[in-house]
Amino acid sequence: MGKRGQGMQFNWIFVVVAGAIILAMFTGFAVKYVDLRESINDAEIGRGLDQIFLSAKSTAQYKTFDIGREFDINFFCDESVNEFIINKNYGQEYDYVLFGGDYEDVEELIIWSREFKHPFRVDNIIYVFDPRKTVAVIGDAQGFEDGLPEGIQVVNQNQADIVVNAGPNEDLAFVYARMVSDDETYNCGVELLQDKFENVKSIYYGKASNMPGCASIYADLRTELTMLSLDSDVESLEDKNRDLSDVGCEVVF
Amino acid sequence: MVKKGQIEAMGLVIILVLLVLLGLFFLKYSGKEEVDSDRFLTIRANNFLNSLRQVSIGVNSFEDLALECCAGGNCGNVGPRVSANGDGYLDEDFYFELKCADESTPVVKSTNCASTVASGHVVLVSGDEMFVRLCRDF
Amino acid sequence: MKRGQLQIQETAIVIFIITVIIAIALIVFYRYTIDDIKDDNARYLDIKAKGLIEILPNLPELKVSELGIEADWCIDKKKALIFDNGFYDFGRKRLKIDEIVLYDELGVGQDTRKFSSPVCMYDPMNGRKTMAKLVVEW
Repeated sequence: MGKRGQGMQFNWIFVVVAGAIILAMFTGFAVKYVDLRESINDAEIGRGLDQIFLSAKSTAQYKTFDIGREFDINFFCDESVNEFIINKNYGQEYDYVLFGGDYEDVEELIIWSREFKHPFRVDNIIYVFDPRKTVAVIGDAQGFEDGLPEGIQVVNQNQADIVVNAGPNEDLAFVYARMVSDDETYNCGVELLQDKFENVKSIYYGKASNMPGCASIYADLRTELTMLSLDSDVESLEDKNRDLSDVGCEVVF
Repeated sequence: MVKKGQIEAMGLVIILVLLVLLGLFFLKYSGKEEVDSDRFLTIRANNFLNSLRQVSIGVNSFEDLALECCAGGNCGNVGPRVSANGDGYLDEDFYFELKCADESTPVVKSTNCASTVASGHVVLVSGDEMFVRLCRDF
Repeated sequence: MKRGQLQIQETAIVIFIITVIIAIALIVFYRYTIDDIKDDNARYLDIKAKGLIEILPNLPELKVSELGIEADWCIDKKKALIFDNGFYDFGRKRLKIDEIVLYDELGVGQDTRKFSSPVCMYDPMNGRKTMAKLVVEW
């Protein structure tokens, strides 16, 4: 009789242990699955943002990005890669001119694009900003507030989360870039802009090398293009381009 | 008695697992529609109209032709020009309409689509409008 | 004793079979999720490719610009002819406007997908704008 009781006891222990193992398996699976779903969601946010940025490149515009829950976004770059990272988990690489900061627990982002010309259009630069932050500008920055999209609060220096300096006659494109990003992202973005500028310049140089008539004006324009940099004056180049139109030749840009 | 209970329990578990498996397969193969392609077809339709209006006709543009038509001039060339610039450049059949601001009879390229996949719309400086509808082949 | 041992063995077999069934179900679900992710990825690549019909006509390296004013959806033929200079990396794709190859990293012998859009093409040599077809292959 005792042995029968022991047999039953042993049976129960066996079942409980087996049940615990199965439960552990299910729990482990559930945890892994939740991790996987979070990774998928992070990838969706990253890809969604990438699509919005690319779309904003086509026309100057602004929009708010709101997915109804909080997420983190961090910008990172080095010699080989530019990427923004969602929830410190999913990194979305990009190769376009984009400026943004590191924002934690953000539910809404303001994304706007702005034409950058020198003197021909080089790019539509994308800016990403957390609307919870307030900004102030120091220095001569005409049109600073007008150039910002709705939703960004410009306040006095002592009340602002972010204070940005504007150099004399500095293009607002760079002021906004410094406003939204840290030094590393700013430098990377400016480098990409520089590369883009050189490429657009080379396309116009190539076009100016293949046009019939007005040979001397085209030659002068090519010389101006060769010397053109992001810091240099553009008036002389614009004059040469206008000269082409005045004498009935095809303009370069 | 215990043996019978165990067999029943095992049977229930097997049925449950099979149901879950079936459910998963059903979900996987129930088909997810490509909703995004509609957005790009709309871009295609608008690209067509924005390009069409700029196409050179002699020293003028198609837009000039359309404006002249709506201002009471010759409309006979509008349809053929639309066909020449649509066929071969759009992958699908399309319906085009020039609607003049004074709401006179629209210049129409073809019969209406049985089913539309995307549409585009452009308003000219005069207030006259151009519409295009890309047709689904059924 | 023998009866008890039989019972234990029975229980063990039952639990073993249930565990195997559950393991198979989990493996199937895992494979299903992987396939789902692959489908999502393929869909994303499609969107990236089709989106080029909106991006390319607006690139300053292609878009018509006359004294600082740009013509919407109109591509400068001179620029298109020198566009392929290695600056852009669009991945494994082929991009063409009519016969002009803008970019070609597609390789041969693969099933490809195509998406196209009409665009306006401006030829600075004769000052005329014509309809052209932008084709993205991937």
